[in-house]
Amino acid sequence: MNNPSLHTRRHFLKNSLLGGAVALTLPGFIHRTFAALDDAATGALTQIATGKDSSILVIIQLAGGNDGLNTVIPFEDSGYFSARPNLAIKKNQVLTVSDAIGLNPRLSEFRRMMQDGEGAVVQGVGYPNPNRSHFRSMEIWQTGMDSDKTSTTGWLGRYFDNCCEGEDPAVAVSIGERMPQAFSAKSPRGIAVRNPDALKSRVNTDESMMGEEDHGMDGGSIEMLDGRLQGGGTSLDFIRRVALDAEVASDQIAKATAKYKGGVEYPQSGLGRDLRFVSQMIAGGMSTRIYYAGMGGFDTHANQVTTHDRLLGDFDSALSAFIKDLKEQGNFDRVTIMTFSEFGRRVKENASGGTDHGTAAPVFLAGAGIKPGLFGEAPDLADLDQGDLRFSTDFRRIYAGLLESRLNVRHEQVLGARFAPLEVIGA
Amino acid sequence: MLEPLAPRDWSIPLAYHLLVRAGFGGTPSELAAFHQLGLEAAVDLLLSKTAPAPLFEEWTETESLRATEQAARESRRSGDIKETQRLSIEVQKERRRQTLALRDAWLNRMVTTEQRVCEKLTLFWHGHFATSIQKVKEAEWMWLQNETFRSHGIGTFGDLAKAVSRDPAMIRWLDLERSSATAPNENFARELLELFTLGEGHYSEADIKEAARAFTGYRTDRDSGKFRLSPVFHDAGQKAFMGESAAFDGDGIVDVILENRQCGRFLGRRIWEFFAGIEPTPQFEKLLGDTFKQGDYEVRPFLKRIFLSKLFYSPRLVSAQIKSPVQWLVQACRSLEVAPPPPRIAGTWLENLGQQLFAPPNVRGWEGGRSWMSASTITARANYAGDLVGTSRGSRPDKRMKFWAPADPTRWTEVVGADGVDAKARALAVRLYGPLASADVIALAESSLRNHGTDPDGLRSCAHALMATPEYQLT
Repeated sequence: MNNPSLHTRRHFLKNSLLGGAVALTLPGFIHRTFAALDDAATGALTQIATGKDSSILVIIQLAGGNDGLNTVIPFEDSGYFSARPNLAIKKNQVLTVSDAIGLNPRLSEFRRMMQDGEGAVVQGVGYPNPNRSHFRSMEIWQTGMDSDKTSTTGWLGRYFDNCCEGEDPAVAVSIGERMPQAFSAKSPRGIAVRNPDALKSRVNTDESMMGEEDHGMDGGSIEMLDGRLQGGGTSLDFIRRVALDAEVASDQIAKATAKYKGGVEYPQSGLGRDLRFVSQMIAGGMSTRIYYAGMGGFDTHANQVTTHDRLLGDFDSALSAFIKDLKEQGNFDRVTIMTFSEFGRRVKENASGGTDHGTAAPVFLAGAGIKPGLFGEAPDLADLDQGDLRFSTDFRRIYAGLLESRLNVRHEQVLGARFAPLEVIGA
Repeated sequence: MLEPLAPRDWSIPLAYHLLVRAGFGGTPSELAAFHQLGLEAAVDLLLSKTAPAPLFEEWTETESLRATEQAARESRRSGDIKETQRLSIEVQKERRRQTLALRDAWLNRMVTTEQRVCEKLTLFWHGHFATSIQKVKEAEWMWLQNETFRSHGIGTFGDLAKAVSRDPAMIRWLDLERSSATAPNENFARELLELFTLGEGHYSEADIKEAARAFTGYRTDRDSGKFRLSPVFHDAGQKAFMGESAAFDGDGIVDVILENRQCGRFLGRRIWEFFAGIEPTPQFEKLLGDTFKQGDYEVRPFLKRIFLSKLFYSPRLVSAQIKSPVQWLVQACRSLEVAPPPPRIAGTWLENLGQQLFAPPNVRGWEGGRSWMSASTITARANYAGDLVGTSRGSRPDKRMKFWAPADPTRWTEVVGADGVDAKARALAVRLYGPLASADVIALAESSLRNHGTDPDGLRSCAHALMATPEYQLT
């Protein structure tokens, strides 16, 4: 009988990260562990049943506040040049995407994607009463709340709570050490992992300490966990659960990434490395619906030009390699990519060759289901709010579009309110 | 609810609990001596009034850094791009080196200090007044702030809060250095009320604006790092703050805050949670807060009440706190009698485990508790434990560890009568888990030693297995 949970069990016994721990609290620990593991395995099955072909969302966070005006440039607006005598990008350098708007010259691949019908830019994205604190604004984007409200759950966490059956820990994968706040949920799911090796244990496992494998494990004497551990349970239960998630996901990731034979070359940058890892997992058939990656350094208060150019160049080359890879794998039609930053930057450059915290900024979308081109209204530089751009598109309209069209869920369920899904995202 | 523990209930397991929570644990012989003192004397020793020495006598590195920065500026002005780049890289390297030195000094202090509570409190206040070198840039200023926590952290909270408002790192971190009477910056005032003293919902937006005016003109002399109040930028006018009206300066604002009993409750709760590892009930929170406030916000006697209280030793609290990464590392070093790993490695570890010193993720500090544990961090803890005990059996240990003096495993089981496998297993389990090490933990140790032997390599293997369990992540 092809019983995946049995296989996982055997594997767990043989290669447990916490091999010691298995022996440690036998039989209590092992029973609770396998109760959870059965859930996990079932979860994995239902995930796969709902579709190996189901859609995948890749979110790329540009941390620090990306300077939207030097990313998507209103090159016909004299206000742009007068506000930025040192930082403005010259009209003859921009990569035009309309008769008034051009992209930063480092975004040549993204412009090609737009021309090829694969990429879109939403201009002027933000929210009412903008907050200029990195933390608070990031929190607003991650929770999807109004700027005067807080929430203990993230927008993706509420998607897991409402729409994901099963206990598969790998339904969402964040590349890094920490889970993004967007994953916070009543019943948290998802794992944080830096690279294919991060979950590989160097603990010396010793089979003789494990006892007879599978002995009595199929019996019905399995204690159930008391609900989700994050919600209740002791700290110890919680840690065991995390260890088990690590173990289960480690196995999935090892298998998935071993299958990968991609020939696409990625740039050496951090984002290049991370997106390559994501593509390996997608190619390997992970059941993951959400991948979360990011790059930092966008908080360009001083000497912006070199930094910002380098960052956009890194972003452009990493994204284009990723798209190429997805096409070679045949997974391009499943994957939708969204970038965001907690805010844009002040219109007027400062005295240090940089820009300070601002408000609205463009969002980039690429991949499956995206209608190409420019969406939203370009910000009006003649109508500023205390030196900052006024937003024209609420970011939750993009979330709503992704939830409805890519994740097949009513967005009100997740966002708690109605937002007109942005037309840039199709089915 | 703060009834004292009866002296007759003082025991070795409770002494262990106090030692790991008030400090970072220790060796079995330290524990035995600590227990011998009796409860009251043990607590008094922890709260000793001897002022801890600063991490450094002085910071001598800033001058040469300033010179390089100056050279880079001049070279930029003269248009020499190559030289500017070279000098900029030089500046970055020097900054990194200084940051590493600072982290290394503090980590070593935590591993070796006798003034355990002072160091633990320094870590607490670092998380409370969370300031990051990512923005502050100056290692020297981060060091100065660290010394403020070390010297004032066990004194009165009012003095500490005032000192922090004048602290160069804080002044830069929350943008006081750009705040003036004509354009007050609200960043510091907002966090002072929201995160440092009262908590959200206990002040109005108008209070923030008025407080911000009082903190205008707070400046740092860039070369000396000394605070000065600039009369040009300071707003000396009347401010209406939390129902009182006066020409408050920053200290005046802090004084008004201290009169608010919410301040006692907010701080009392934070301190209790840090040491006890559980949330207080609302009723207990009030009691804690009022106790702290009525004691004029003096931290030492407040901690004494906590450490002497019966509740602090209740079974649901003991061995139930998830170790922070710093606690995990320092406690391991202390119990294994080994120095912390070389600075770059310690930096990598704490970064990957989610608690880089001098670089909290944001002004709220580290979330702590369950957020310390993720698939990546639990795997990393298990792997780093192998590097720390020096096990050679695992694949791919961190090669940079070879420049570090590894622990001597024979010391781990050096206890009276610890000859046989069982005795050695028990000794090692107790060293890592404390006197309440469960029978299962001891069985794991026995099984490992039987399989791998009791030679140094076997002991290392056993320690690694013991440190890779879910149970070991708790203290």
